[in-house]
Amino acid sequence: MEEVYLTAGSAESGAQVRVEALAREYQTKLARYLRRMVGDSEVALDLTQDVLFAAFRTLQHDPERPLTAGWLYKTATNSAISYLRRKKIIRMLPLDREHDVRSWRIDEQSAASLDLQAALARLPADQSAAMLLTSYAGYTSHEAAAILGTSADAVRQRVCRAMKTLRTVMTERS
Amino acid sequence: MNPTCARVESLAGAIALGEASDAERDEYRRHIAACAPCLRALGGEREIERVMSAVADARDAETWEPIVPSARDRRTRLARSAWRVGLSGVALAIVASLGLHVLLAAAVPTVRIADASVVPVLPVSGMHVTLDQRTPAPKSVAAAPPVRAVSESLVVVHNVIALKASTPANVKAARGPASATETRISTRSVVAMATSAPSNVPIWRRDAAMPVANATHAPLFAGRAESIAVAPVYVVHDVTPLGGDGAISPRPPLIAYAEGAEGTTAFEVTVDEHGAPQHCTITKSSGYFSLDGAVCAAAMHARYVPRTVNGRATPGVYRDAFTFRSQSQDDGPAIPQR
Repeated sequence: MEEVYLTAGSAESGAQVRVEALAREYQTKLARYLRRMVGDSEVALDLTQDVLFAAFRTLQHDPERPLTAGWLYKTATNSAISYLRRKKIIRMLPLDREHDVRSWRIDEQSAASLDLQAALARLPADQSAAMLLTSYAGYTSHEAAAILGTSADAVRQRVCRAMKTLRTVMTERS
Repeated sequence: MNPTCARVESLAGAIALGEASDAERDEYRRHIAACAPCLRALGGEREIERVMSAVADARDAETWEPIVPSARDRRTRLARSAWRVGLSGVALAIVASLGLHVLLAAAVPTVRIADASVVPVLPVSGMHVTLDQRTPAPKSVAAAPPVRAVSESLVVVHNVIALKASTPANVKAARGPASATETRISTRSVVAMATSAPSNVPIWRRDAAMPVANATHAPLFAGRAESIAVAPVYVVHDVTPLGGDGAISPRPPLIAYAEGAEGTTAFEVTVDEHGAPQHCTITKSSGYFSLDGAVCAAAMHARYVPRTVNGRATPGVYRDAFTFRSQSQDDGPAIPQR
């Protein structure tokens, strides 16, 4: 996707080039990950934009900083958790994330997709993040532990608990 | 939870992620075979793979290709939201201010005083106003002609009423005529000072030792032979409004015009040594809360030149009165005069 993400500027050009590269490679993955986390496409787009903007700010202040995909996922996870907390406090938006799923495209509404989203709607944010980072984004438990700031065993336990919920949902729906 | 079962959760997670070694898989199988609750909750290895394959199917079926707005739009959006928040704040402040004004205008009581013994308290913003129903003091100065037309139908007449505190007649005669700014020539009485000043102060020093508050009090035996008239000792300037007589301009609420309120409101304001009004007291009510409240509010909003004794500022009292008269009941048009 050849999009110009930032205005050209002499001081910002380095950060701009690096963020453009990151965005080209990860924006779709980040948006899909965030959509599963928050259950809303529009919010996911906003949060993805926030993550990329945070990356640009970070590179603007420290151009030599190595910014990896793990950093992007960590920022995205924290943004999603913050959003879910705000949503829980404000309660202005519907808490039923299945409602958002019904607004997805028809080809995305497979049984597995709906089951997964229904299970994620019941899970705490940390378990959702562990499940999505490992089985959705493809990170190992050690990499996910580094992103989430916890241990690999804790990530495996969270995946196991998320899996139990998903199994319950699948049983109920069948 | 059994510690072994907690360990099995970690093993099940490892199996789900495909990270379990053969030893870990054997350990999981042994525990599942012996622990029915874990078997019901987690299922066997095949069940775990079935559940996790659903996640993989959902991932593979994902076709959403999002178009993330550029960071430039993000900046514009942030700027717009900042402007929106700022404008909303300004609009909210304006609406709140208008609402407050309307509430304050509607909150002025307009009930006529039915019982003269009731001592009402008017809520005026930022000050405490008490309406005391006192015995009307005799007017020492006649009413002045109309001075100011407040609106088309109500005329405010500024009557200066000197409501002096009661003093012995002999002292009043010795002081001469009362005025807003007067120089009082006091007499010194040896007997009076001997009764009021501390005994350890010599008689010839007690004059200076007397407190200022007592200085203006009349000597008890001013007319006696041993009283000695001396040179002017206390030069007293009473409280006056800063800005002249027009400094206090009461603005009665509209309801006063509607109900044809009229009458004379006499009041007194205690003023501290800095010239700030402290307390307003209605000494003679016009019979309308609206008029009395307007007068006290105006009096409390004004600033004053404090009372001075020998050039030294002291707390004092400013007394004045306003007469409100409905123009429709007057014989002729009211011409503002003073």
